[in-house]
Amino acid sequence: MTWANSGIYASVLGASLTVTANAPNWSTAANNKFALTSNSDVTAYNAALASAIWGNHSATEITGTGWAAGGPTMATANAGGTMTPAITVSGTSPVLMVWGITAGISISGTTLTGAYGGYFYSTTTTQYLMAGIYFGGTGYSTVGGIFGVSWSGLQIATISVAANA
Amino acid sequence: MGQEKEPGLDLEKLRSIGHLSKGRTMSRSKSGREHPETGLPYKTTRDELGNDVIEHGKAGSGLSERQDVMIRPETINTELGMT
Repeated sequence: MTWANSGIYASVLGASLTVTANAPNWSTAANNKFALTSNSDVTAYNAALASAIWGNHSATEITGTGWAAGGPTMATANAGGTMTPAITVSGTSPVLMVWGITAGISISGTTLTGAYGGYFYSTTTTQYLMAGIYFGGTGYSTVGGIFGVSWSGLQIATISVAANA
Repeated sequence: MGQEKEPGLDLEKLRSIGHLSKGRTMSRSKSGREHPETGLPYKTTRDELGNDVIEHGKAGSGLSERQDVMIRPETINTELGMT
């Protein structure tokens, strides 16, 4: 379906757990990007691994002045600085695996129209999608300004792995 | 003894109000100047999703010179199913 929620591409997460060739590294800023798409995009979080790739979504990409085609790398997305992801373990009840990040997105001088959501994806050969971020059902636009994303509690995602430690 | 339903009161609807995660309120705007005397005017509109659209105007022109956006997505919370 078109943008309606955020989510993780389970097939891609599974590929990383099984060390499939070109599977994403979820703890590096170097080889991951964040791209924007329009409301025409179909998220398909249930996609099989072969289909969970940026190339199946790039036709609906939102591009514009000041925003790199394919999106900024995580290494430069925070006003030229890095927003580095990391996986940590948090909590005792429940026990969470947290996909956290050190900073938000801040790209200045952008003119963008109608961004409904964005994707973290790996730039390594196959360009597997990692997670989709839904902006909430409104197309957001900038005019020569800053496009920013502030992550709640510097957490992109959490996975509850056990009820109690 | 069962709980009696008060006539004309839909308890299911009342309960559902408490489950609106971000509320269903109108957008809220805040206007001002970046500097009290010389700064350019701006207007920040925070929508019901918690995202901000910030318009920066040219002084005295009423025209929008720049528009910023700040998205505040919720954390994706998932769990591994185990029984």
